[in-house]
Amino acid sequence: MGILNTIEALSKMLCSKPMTVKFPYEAIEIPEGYRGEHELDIDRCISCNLCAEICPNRAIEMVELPEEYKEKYPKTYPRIDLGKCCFCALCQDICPRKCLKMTKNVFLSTPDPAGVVKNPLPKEVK
Amino acid sequence: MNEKELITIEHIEPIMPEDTDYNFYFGPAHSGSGNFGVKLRLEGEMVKSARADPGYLHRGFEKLMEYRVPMQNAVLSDRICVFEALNWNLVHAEAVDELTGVEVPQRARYIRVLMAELSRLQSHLIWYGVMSLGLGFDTGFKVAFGYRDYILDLFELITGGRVYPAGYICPGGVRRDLPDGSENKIRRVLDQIEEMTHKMQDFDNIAFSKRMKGVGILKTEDAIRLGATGPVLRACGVKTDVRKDDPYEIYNELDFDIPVREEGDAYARYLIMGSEMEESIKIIKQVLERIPKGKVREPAKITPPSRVKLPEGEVYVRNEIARGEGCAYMRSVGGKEPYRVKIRGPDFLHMIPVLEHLLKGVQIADIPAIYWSLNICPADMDR
Repeated sequence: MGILNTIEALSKMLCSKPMTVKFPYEAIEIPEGYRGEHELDIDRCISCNLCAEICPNRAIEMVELPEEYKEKYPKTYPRIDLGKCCFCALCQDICPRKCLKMTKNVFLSTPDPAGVVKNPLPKEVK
Repeated sequence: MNEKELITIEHIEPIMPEDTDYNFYFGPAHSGSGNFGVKLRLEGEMVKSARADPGYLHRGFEKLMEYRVPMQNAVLSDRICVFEALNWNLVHAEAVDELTGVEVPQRARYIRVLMAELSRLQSHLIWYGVMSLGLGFDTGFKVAFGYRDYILDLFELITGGRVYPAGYICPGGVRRDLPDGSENKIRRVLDQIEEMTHKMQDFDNIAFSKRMKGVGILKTEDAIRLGATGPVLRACGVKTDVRKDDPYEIYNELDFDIPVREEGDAYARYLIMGSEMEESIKIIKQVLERIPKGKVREPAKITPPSRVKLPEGEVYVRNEIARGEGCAYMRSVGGKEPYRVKIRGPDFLHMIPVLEHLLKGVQIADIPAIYWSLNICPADMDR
Protein backbone atom coordinates (compact mmCIF):
# COMPACT_ATOMS: atom_id res chain seq x y z
CA MET A 1 0.00 0.00 0.00
CA GLY A 2 2.82 2.32 0.95
CA ILE A 3 4.65 1.63 -2.30
CA LEU A 4 1.48 2.24 -4.33
CA ASN A 5 1.05 5.61 -2.60
CA THR A 6 4.63 6.48 -3.36
CA ILE A 7 4.25 5.57 -7.03
CA GLU A 8 1.03 7.55 -7.26
CA ALA A 9 2.57 10.62 -5.62
CA LEU A 10 5.70 10.31 -7.75
CA SER A 11 3.80 10.09 -11.03
CA LYS A 12 1.71 13.10 -10.02
CA MET A 13 4.70 15.17 -9.00
CA LEU A 14 6.74 14.31 -12.10
CA CYS A 15 3.97 15.67 -14.33
CA SER A 16 3.28 18.84 -12.33
CA LYS A 17 5.08 22.14 -12.72
CA PRO A 18 7.52 23.30 -10.01
CA MET A 19 6.28 25.88 -7.48
CA THR A 20 9.29 28.12 -8.01
CA VAL A 21 10.61 30.12 -10.99
CA LYS A 22 14.21 30.41 -12.15
CA PHE A 23 15.11 33.89 -11.03
CA PRO A 24 16.69 36.02 -12.60
CA TYR A 25 15.91 34.36 -15.96
CA GLU A 26 12.22 34.44 -15.16
CA ALA A 27 10.30 36.26 -12.45
CA ILE A 28 6.79 36.48 -11.05
CA GLU A 29 5.06 39.48 -12.57
CA ILE A 30 4.75 42.41 -10.19
CA PRO A 31 1.12 43.64 -10.09
CA GLU A 32 -0.12 47.20 -10.54
CA GLY A 33 -0.17 49.20 -7.34
CA TYR A 34 3.03 47.72 -6.00
CA ARG A 35 4.87 49.89 -3.50
CA GLY A 36 8.34 50.20 -5.04
CA GLU A 37 10.70 53.10 -5.80
CA HIS A 38 9.16 56.62 -5.86
CA GLU A 39 8.75 58.74 -8.95
CA LEU A 40 8.22 62.50 -8.74
CA ASP A 41 6.54 64.54 -11.44
CA ILE A 42 8.12 67.82 -10.41
CA ASP A 43 6.10 69.93 -12.86
CA ARG A 44 2.87 69.08 -11.06
CA CYS A 45 4.22 69.44 -7.51
CA ILE A 46 2.71 72.39 -5.62
CA SER A 47 5.12 72.16 -2.68
CA CYS A 48 2.32 71.55 -0.17
CA ASN A 49 4.58 69.63 2.26
CA LEU A 50 1.89 66.99 2.97
CA CYS A 51 4.13 64.07 1.95
CA ALA A 52 6.84 65.20 4.37
CA GLU A 53 4.23 65.70 7.08
CA ILE A 54 2.61 62.23 6.80
CA CYS A 55 5.83 60.22 6.38
CA PRO A 56 5.99 57.99 9.51
CA ASN A 57 9.78 57.60 9.23
CA ARG A 58 10.53 61.24 8.37
CA ALA A 59 12.25 60.11 5.21
CA ILE A 60 11.00 63.07 3.16
CA GLU A 61 12.53 66.52 3.41
CA MET A 62 11.45 69.53 1.36
CA VAL A 63 14.54 71.02 -0.31
CA GLU A 64 15.38 73.65 -2.90
CA LEU A 65 16.74 72.70 -6.28
CA PRO A 66 20.31 73.57 -7.42
CA GLU A 67 20.89 77.15 -8.61
CA GLU A 68 20.61 76.39 -12.33
CA TYR A 69 16.99 75.18 -12.01
CA LYS A 70 15.84 77.65 -9.38
CA GLU A 71 14.35 80.05 -11.86
CA LYS A 72 11.94 77.47 -13.24
CA TYR A 73 11.35 75.66 -9.94
CA PRO A 74 11.50 78.28 -7.17
CA LYS A 75 9.69 76.32 -4.42
CA THR A 76 10.83 73.41 -2.25
CA TYR A 77 10.39 69.82 -3.42
CA PRO A 78 10.51 66.43 -1.68
CA ARG A 79 13.88 64.73 -1.27
CA ILE A 80 13.34 61.08 -0.36
CA ASP A 81 15.81 59.07 1.67
CA LEU A 82 15.11 55.50 0.60
CA GLY A 83 17.30 54.24 3.43
CA LYS A 84 14.75 55.53 5.91
CA CYS A 85 11.66 54.81 3.79
CA CYS A 86 9.37 51.94 4.82
CA PHE A 87 7.47 51.97 1.50
CA CYS A 88 4.08 52.50 3.08
CA ALA A 89 2.84 54.73 0.21
CA LEU A 90 1.17 57.23 2.55
CA CYS A 91 2.96 60.01 0.62
CA GLN A 92 1.44 58.72 -2.60
CA ASP A 93 -2.05 58.52 -1.11
CA ILE A 94 -2.00 61.97 0.50
CA CYS A 95 -0.55 63.83 -2.53
CA PRO A 96 -3.35 66.15 -3.76
CA ARG A 97 -1.90 66.45 -7.29
CA LYS A 98 -0.90 62.75 -7.56
CA CYS A 99 2.59 63.79 -8.61
CA LEU A 100 4.42 61.48 -6.19
CA LYS A 101 3.91 57.89 -7.27
CA MET A 102 5.41 54.56 -6.40
CA THR A 103 6.67 52.42 -9.26
CA LYS A 104 7.20 48.70 -9.63
CA ASN A 105 10.99 49.02 -9.36
CA VAL A 106 12.14 46.80 -6.51
CA PHE A 107 15.83 46.58 -7.38
CA LEU A 108 17.08 49.27 -5.05
CA SER A 109 20.20 47.89 -3.40
CA THR A 110 23.28 49.92 -4.15
CA PRO A 111 26.90 49.99 -2.92
CA ASP A 112 26.83 53.81 -2.99
CA PRO A 113 25.41 55.34 0.24
CA ALA A 114 24.56 58.61 -1.57
CA GLY A 115 22.58 56.62 -4.13
CA VAL A 116 19.77 55.91 -1.68
CA VAL A 117 18.84 59.59 -1.46
CA LYS A 118 16.53 60.66 -4.27
CA ASN A 119 16.94 64.37 -4.98
CA PRO A 120 14.14 66.23 -6.76
CA LEU A 121 15.27 67.04 -10.28
CA PRO A 122 13.55 68.18 -13.46
CA LYS A 123 12.49 65.41 -15.83
CA GLU A 124 14.98 66.27 -18.58
CA VAL A 125 17.93 65.91 -16.14
CA LYS A 126 16.97 62.38 -15.14
CA MET B 1 29.52 28.11 56.75
CA ASN B 2 30.71 27.13 60.21
CA GLU B 3 33.58 24.88 61.20
CA LYS B 4 31.46 21.84 61.80
CA GLU B 5 30.04 21.89 58.33
CA LEU B 6 33.49 22.30 56.81
CA ILE B 7 34.70 19.19 58.60
CA THR B 8 31.81 17.12 57.37
CA ILE B 9 32.42 18.23 53.81
CA GLU B 10 36.08 17.19 54.01
CA HIS B 11 35.05 13.76 55.20
CA ILE B 12 32.86 13.01 52.23
CA GLU B 13 34.71 10.86 49.78
CA PRO B 14 34.13 11.86 46.23
CA ILE B 15 33.40 8.41 44.81
CA MET B 16 31.45 9.65 41.80
CA PRO B 17 30.10 13.09 40.93
CA GLU B 18 26.49 13.04 41.97
CA ASP B 19 25.63 16.34 40.43
CA THR B 20 25.07 15.60 36.76
CA ASP B 21 23.03 18.75 36.20
CA TYR B 22 24.14 21.26 33.63
CA ASN B 23 22.88 24.39 31.96
CA PHE B 24 21.69 24.31 28.40
CA TYR B 25 20.67 27.22 26.22
CA PHE B 26 17.94 26.90 23.61
CA GLY B 27 18.33 30.11 21.61
CA PRO B 28 18.56 33.07 21.23
CA ALA B 29 20.90 32.40 18.29
CA HIS B 30 19.43 28.99 17.56
CA SER B 31 18.02 28.32 14.15
CA GLY B 32 14.97 26.72 15.69
CA SER B 33 14.01 29.32 18.27
CA GLY B 34 13.78 32.72 16.63
CA ASN B 35 14.94 35.78 18.56
CA PHE B 36 14.17 34.19 21.87
CA GLY B 37 16.01 32.02 24.33
CA VAL B 38 15.20 29.48 27.00
CA LYS B 39 17.71 28.75 29.75
CA LEU B 40 17.34 25.12 30.71
CA ARG B 41 18.68 23.18 33.67
CA LEU B 42 19.14 19.61 32.61
CA GLU B 43 19.70 16.38 34.47
CA GLY B 44 21.05 14.04 31.86
CA GLU B 45 18.52 14.41 29.09
CA MET B 46 15.69 15.58 31.28
CA VAL B 47 14.74 19.22 31.80
CA LYS B 48 14.64 20.07 35.53
CA SER B 49 13.66 23.68 35.10
CA ALA B 50 13.25 26.20 32.29
CA ARG B 51 13.57 29.96 32.35
CA ALA B 52 12.43 32.07 29.41
CA ASP B 53 14.91 34.70 28.25
CA PRO B 54 12.96 37.34 26.32
CA GLY B 55 13.83 40.84 25.17
CA TYR B 56 15.89 40.33 22.01
CA LEU B 57 13.28 41.85 19.71
CA HIS B 58 11.93 44.76 21.73
CA ARG B 59 11.21 47.72 19.48
CA GLY B 60 9.02 49.81 21.75
CA PHE B 61 5.87 50.18 19.66
CA GLU B 62 3.81 51.38 22.58
CA LYS B 63 6.08 54.40 23.02
CA LEU B 64 6.50 55.02 19.27
CA MET B 65 2.73 55.15 18.87
CA GLU B 66 2.53 58.05 21.31
CA TYR B 67 4.42 60.21 18.80
CA ARG B 68 2.47 59.41 15.66
CA VAL B 69 -1.03 60.01 14.37
CA PRO B 70 -3.33 56.95 13.95
CA MET B 71 -2.73 56.66 10.19
CA GLN B 72 1.04 56.46 10.77
CA ASN B 73 0.47 54.03 13.63
CA ALA B 74 -1.48 51.77 11.27
CA VAL B 75 1.76 51.37 9.27
CA LEU B 76 3.63 50.71 12.49
CA SER B 77 1.15 48.07 13.64
CA ASP B 78 2.30 45.75 10.81
CA ARG B 79 5.54 45.21 12.61
CA ILE B 80 4.08 43.95 15.88
CA CYS B 81 4.02 40.46 14.42
CA VAL B 82 5.53 39.89 11.00
CA PHE B 83 3.65 36.63 10.55
CA GLU B 84 0.20 38.14 10.87
CA ALA B 85 0.57 41.82 10.03
CA LEU B 86 -3.01 42.23 8.80
CA ASN B 87 -4.50 40.85 12.01
CA TRP B 88 -2.59 43.44 14.02
CA ASN B 89 -3.65 46.12 11.54
CA LEU B 90 -7.21 45.18 12.35
CA VAL B 91 -6.69 45.33 16.13
CA HIS B 92 -5.22 48.83 15.85
CA ALA B 93 -7.83 50.07 13.36
CA GLU B 94 -10.69 48.82 15.54
CA ALA B 95 -9.29 50.60 18.59
CA VAL B 96 -9.08 53.90 16.69
CA ASP B 97 -12.52 53.44 15.11
CA GLU B 98 -14.07 52.84 18.51
CA LEU B 99 -12.34 55.91 19.89
CA THR B 100 -13.38 58.21 17.06
CA GLY B 101 -16.80 56.62 16.54
CA VAL B 102 -16.42 56.44 12.76
CA GLU B 103 -19.00 54.32 10.93
CA VAL B 104 -16.90 51.92 8.83
CA PRO B 105 -18.46 51.21 5.39
CA GLN B 106 -19.94 47.72 5.03
CA ARG B 107 -17.71 46.78 2.10
CA ALA B 108 -14.64 47.71 4.14
CA ARG B 109 -15.83 45.44 6.97
CA TYR B 110 -16.05 42.50 4.56
CA ILE B 111 -12.61 43.25 3.10
CA ARG B 112 -11.18 43.50 6.62
CA VAL B 113 -12.49 40.05 7.54
CA LEU B 114 -11.33 38.62 4.21
CA MET B 115 -7.80 39.91 4.72
CA ALA B 116 -7.68 38.91 8.39
CA GLU B 117 -8.68 35.34 7.52
CA LEU B 118 -6.16 35.15 4.65
CA SER B 119 -3.57 36.36 7.13
CA ARG B 120 -4.64 33.66 9.58
CA LEU B 121 -4.26 31.03 6.84
CA GLN B 122 -0.72 32.10 5.95
CA SER B 123 0.17 32.33 9.62
CA HIS B 124 -1.03 28.78 10.20
CA LEU B 125 1.00 27.64 7.20
CA ILE B 126 4.08 29.17 8.83
CA TRP B 127 3.09 27.36 12.02
CA TYR B 128 2.92 24.07 10.14
CA GLY B 129 6.21 24.83 8.40
CA VAL B 130 8.23 25.65 11.49
CA MET B 131 6.68 22.80 13.43
CA SER B 132 7.77 20.38 10.70
CA LEU B 133 11.23 21.94 10.75
CA GLY B 134 11.43 21.50 14.52
CA LEU B 135 10.54 17.84 14.17
CA GLY B 136 13.04 17.22 11.39
CA PHE B 137 10.40 16.94 8.67
CA ASP B 138 11.97 19.30 6.13
CA THR B 139 9.58 18.47 3.30
CA GLY B 140 6.64 19.77 5.32
CA PHE B 141 8.46 23.04 5.91
CA LYS B 142 9.21 23.60 2.25
CA VAL B 143 5.76 22.62 1.02
CA ALA B 144 3.99 24.81 3.62
CA PHE B 145 6.11 27.86 2.80
CA GLY B 146 5.57 27.21 -0.91
CA TYR B 147 1.80 27.31 -0.45
CA ARG B 148 2.08 30.35 1.80
CA ASP B 149 3.63 32.19 -1.13
CA TYR B 150 0.38 31.87 -3.06
CA ILE B 151 -1.30 33.89 -0.32
CA LEU B 152 1.58 36.38 -0.36
CA ASP B 153 0.96 36.83 -4.09
CA LEU B 154 -2.59 37.84 -3.18
CA PHE B 155 -1.33 40.29 -0.57
CA GLU B 156 1.01 41.76 -3.18
CA LEU B 157 -1.91 42.24 -5.53
CA ILE B 158 -4.29 43.72 -2.97
CA THR B 159 -2.07 45.65 -0.55
CA GLY B 160 1.00 46.39 -2.70
CA GLY B 161 3.45 44.47 -0.54
CA ARG B 162 4.06 40.79 0.09
CA VAL B 163 4.71 40.64 3.82
CA TYR B 164 4.04 44.15 5.12
CA PRO B 165 0.66 45.54 4.04
CA ALA B 166 1.65 49.03 5.33
CA GLY B 167 -1.50 49.58 7.32
CA TYR B 168 -3.83 48.23 4.63
CA ILE B 169 -6.52 47.86 7.28
CA CYS B 170 -6.47 51.43 8.51
CA PRO B 171 -8.69 53.56 10.75
CA GLY B 172 -11.98 54.15 8.92
CA GLY B 173 -11.84 51.14 6.59
CA VAL B 174 -9.15 49.86 4.23
CA ARG B 175 -6.64 51.84 2.21
CA ARG B 176 -7.74 50.73 -1.24
CA ASP B 177 -10.44 48.64 -2.87
CA LEU B 178 -9.90 45.10 -4.13
CA PRO B 179 -8.44 45.27 -7.66
CA ASP B 180 -10.47 43.90 -10.59
CA GLY B 181 -10.39 40.14 -10.91
CA SER B 182 -8.97 39.63 -7.45
CA GLU B 183 -12.00 37.65 -6.28
CA ASN B 184 -11.35 34.92 -8.83
CA LYS B 185 -7.70 34.89 -7.87
CA ILE B 186 -8.63 34.49 -4.18
CA ARG B 187 -10.89 31.54 -5.07
CA ARG B 188 -8.06 29.91 -7.02
CA VAL B 189 -5.66 30.35 -4.09
CA LEU B 190 -8.27 28.90 -1.71
CA ASP B 191 -8.39 25.75 -3.86
CA GLN B 192 -4.62 25.53 -3.59
CA ILE B 193 -4.72 25.95 0.19
CA GLU B 194 -7.40 23.26 0.39
CA GLU B 195 -5.00 21.03 -1.53
CA MET B 196 -2.39 21.84 1.14
CA THR B 197 -4.74 20.84 3.98
CA HIS B 198 -5.22 17.47 2.23
CA LYS B 199 -1.45 17.16 1.95
CA MET B 200 -1.13 17.87 5.66
CA GLN B 201 -3.42 14.92 6.34
CA ASP B 202 -1.35 12.74 4.00
CA PHE B 203 1.88 13.79 5.71
CA ASP B 204 0.44 12.76 9.08
CA ASN B 205 2.61 9.66 9.33
CA ILE B 206 3.87 7.71 12.33
CA ALA B 207 7.16 9.60 12.52
CA PHE B 208 5.30 12.90 12.68
CA SER B 209 2.56 12.00 15.14
CA LYS B 210 4.72 9.95 17.52
CA ARG B 211 6.93 12.96 18.15
CA MET B 212 3.89 14.95 19.29
CA LYS B 213 1.30 12.58 20.78
CA GLY B 214 1.32 12.80 24.57
CA VAL B 215 4.08 15.44 24.49
CA GLY B 216 3.67 18.79 26.25
CA ILE B 217 0.29 18.09 27.82
CA LEU B 218 -1.33 21.26 29.11
CA LYS B 219 -4.21 20.67 31.51
CA THR B 220 -7.29 22.85 31.20
CA GLU B 221 -6.94 24.41 34.65
CA ASP B 222 -3.24 25.15 34.02
CA ALA B 223 -4.04 26.70 30.65
CA ILE B 224 -6.58 29.05 32.21
CA ARG B 225 -4.37 29.81 35.21
CA LEU B 226 -1.36 30.65 33.03
CA GLY B 227 -3.36 32.81 30.63
CA ALA B 228 -3.34 30.72 27.45
CA THR B 229 -5.69 31.86 24.70
CA GLY B 230 -6.59 30.91 21.15
CA PRO B 231 -5.61 27.56 19.63
CA VAL B 232 -3.55 26.60 22.69
CA LEU B 233 -6.59 26.94 24.98
CA ARG B 234 -8.93 25.32 22.46
CA ALA B 235 -6.61 22.28 22.33
CA CYS B 236 -7.22 21.87 26.10
CA GLY B 237 -10.96 21.47 25.72
CA VAL B 238 -12.12 25.06 26.25
CA LYS B 239 -14.54 26.21 23.57
CA THR B 240 -13.62 29.86 23.28
CA ASP B 241 -13.14 32.21 20.37
CA VAL B 242 -13.44 36.00 20.42
CA ARG B 243 -15.04 35.86 16.98
CA LYS B 244 -17.99 34.05 18.57
CA ASP B 245 -17.86 35.23 22.20
CA ASP B 246 -17.48 38.93 21.48
CA PRO B 247 -18.11 39.31 17.72
CA TYR B 248 -16.45 42.18 15.89
CA GLU B 249 -16.74 43.34 12.27
CA ILE B 250 -19.13 40.94 10.49
CA TYR B 251 -18.27 37.69 12.25
CA ASN B 252 -21.75 37.41 13.79
CA GLU B 253 -23.23 37.11 10.28
CA LEU B 254 -20.91 34.28 9.25
CA ASP B 255 -21.33 30.58 9.76
CA PHE B 256 -18.28 28.76 11.11
CA ASP B 257 -17.34 26.33 13.87
CA ILE B 258 -14.82 26.50 16.67
CA PRO B 259 -12.62 23.40 16.59
CA VAL B 260 -11.93 22.02 20.07
CA ARG B 261 -9.79 19.07 21.23
CA GLU B 262 -9.67 17.50 24.66
CA GLU B 263 -6.13 16.05 24.76
CA GLY B 264 -4.13 19.24 25.37
CA ASP B 265 -0.90 17.83 23.90
CA ALA B 266 1.22 19.08 20.99
CA TYR B 267 -0.62 16.81 18.58
CA ALA B 268 -3.99 18.26 19.60
CA ARG B 269 -2.67 21.75 18.93
CA TYR B 270 -1.48 20.60 15.51
CA LEU B 271 -4.91 19.14 14.72
CA ILE B 272 -6.60 22.37 15.83
CA MET B 273 -4.43 24.23 13.34
CA GLY B 274 -5.61 22.03 10.46
CA SER B 275 -9.28 22.41 11.44
CA GLU B 276 -8.93 26.18 11.85
CA MET B 277 -7.53 26.46 8.35
CA GLU B 278 -10.59 24.68 7.00
CA GLU B 279 -12.85 27.04 8.96
CA SER B 280 -10.97 30.07 7.63
CA ILE B 281 -11.45 28.84 4.07
CA LYS B 282 -15.17 28.48 4.84
CA ILE B 283 -15.32 32.07 6.15
CA ILE B 284 -13.50 33.52 3.13
CA LYS B 285 -15.87 31.72 0.74
CA GLN B 286 -18.88 33.20 2.56
CA VAL B 287 -17.34 36.68 2.49
CA LEU B 288 -16.69 36.45 -1.25
CA GLU B 289 -20.31 35.47 -1.86
CA ARG B 290 -21.80 38.26 0.21
CA ILE B 291 -19.38 41.17 -0.25
CA PRO B 292 -21.40 44.31 -1.09
CA LYS B 293 -20.39 47.20 -3.33
CA GLY B 294 -19.64 50.67 -2.05
CA LYS B 295 -17.06 52.84 -0.37
CA VAL B 296 -14.06 51.31 1.37
CA ARG B 297 -13.01 54.15 3.62
CA GLU B 298 -14.62 56.87 5.71
CA PRO B 299 -13.37 59.60 5.16
CA ALA B 300 -12.13 58.70 1.68
CA LYS B 301 -9.06 60.93 1.85
CA ILE B 302 -6.25 60.79 4.40
CA THR B 303 -6.43 63.66 6.89
CA PRO B 304 -3.13 65.58 7.12
CA PRO B 305 -1.49 65.03 10.54
CA SER B 306 -1.80 68.70 11.50
CA ARG B 307 -5.60 68.48 11.22
CA VAL B 308 -6.07 65.18 13.09
CA LYS B 309 -7.86 65.33 16.43
CA LEU B 310 -8.65 62.27 18.50
CA PRO B 311 -11.61 62.65 20.84
CA GLU B 312 -10.97 62.23 24.54
CA GLY B 313 -11.60 58.76 25.95
CA GLU B 314 -10.25 55.25 26.37
CA VAL B 315 -11.01 51.97 24.61
CA TYR B 316 -10.05 48.35 24.89
CA VAL B 317 -10.58 46.03 21.94
CA ARG B 318 -9.87 42.35 21.55
CA ASN B 319 -9.62 40.25 18.44
CA GLU B 320 -9.04 36.60 17.69
CA ILE B 321 -5.75 36.59 15.82
CA ALA B 322 -4.02 33.43 14.60
CA ARG B 323 -2.04 32.92 17.82
CA GLY B 324 -4.73 33.75 20.33
CA GLU B 325 -6.22 36.90 21.72
CA GLY B 326 -4.72 40.14 20.42
CA CYS B 327 -5.84 43.22 22.34
CA ALA B 328 -5.16 46.91 22.36
CA TYR B 329 -5.87 49.55 24.96
CA MET B 330 -5.85 53.12 23.71
CA ARG B 331 -6.29 56.33 25.64
CA SER B 332 -6.60 59.80 24.23
CA VAL B 333 -6.62 63.16 25.99
CA GLY B 334 -7.81 65.07 22.96
CA GLY B 335 -4.55 65.53 21.05
CA LYS B 336 -3.67 64.28 17.59
CA GLU B 337 -1.67 61.33 18.89
CA PRO B 338 -2.90 58.73 21.40
CA TYR B 339 -1.76 59.46 24.95
CA ARG B 340 -1.10 55.81 25.73
CA VAL B 341 -1.29 52.57 23.76
CA LYS B 342 -0.96 49.18 25.39
CA ILE B 343 -0.70 46.11 23.23
CA ARG B 344 -1.54 42.73 24.67
CA GLY B 345 -0.22 39.97 22.45
CA PRO B 346 -1.08 36.32 23.01
CA ASP B 347 2.51 35.13 22.88
CA PHE B 348 3.78 36.87 25.99
CA LEU B 349 1.88 34.38 28.11
CA HIS B 350 2.40 31.44 25.74
CA MET B 351 6.15 31.93 25.62
CA ILE B 352 6.89 32.69 29.24
CA PRO B 353 4.58 31.02 31.82
CA VAL B 354 3.06 28.34 29.58
CA LEU B 355 6.35 27.35 27.98
CA GLU B 356 8.22 27.27 31.29
CA HIS B 357 5.45 25.12 32.76
CA LEU B 358 5.39 22.69 29.82
CA LEU B 359 9.15 22.24 29.59
CA LYS B 360 9.53 21.01 33.17
CA GLY B 361 10.30 17.28 33.22
CA VAL B 362 10.42 16.69 29.47
CA GLN B 363 13.15 15.08 27.41
CA ILE B 364 15.53 17.36 25.53
CA ALA B 365 14.37 15.99 22.17
CA ASP B 366 10.80 17.06 22.87
CA ILE B 367 11.68 20.73 23.32
CA PRO B 368 11.22 21.74 19.63
CA ALA B 369 7.92 19.86 19.41
CA ILE B 370 6.55 21.68 22.47
CA TYR B 371 8.07 25.03 21.58
CA TRP B 372 6.67 25.18 18.06
CA SER B 373 3.35 23.57 18.90
CA LEU B 374 2.52 26.75 20.88
CA ASN B 375 2.57 28.78 17.62
CA ILE B 376 4.98 31.30 19.07
CA CYS B 377 6.23 34.58 17.66
CA PRO B 378 9.04 36.42 19.50
CA ALA B 379 8.16 39.66 17.69
CA ASP B 380 4.69 39.74 19.16
CA MET B 381 5.96 38.88 22.64
CA ASP B 382 8.67 41.56 22.86
CA ARG B 383 6.75 44.17 20.85
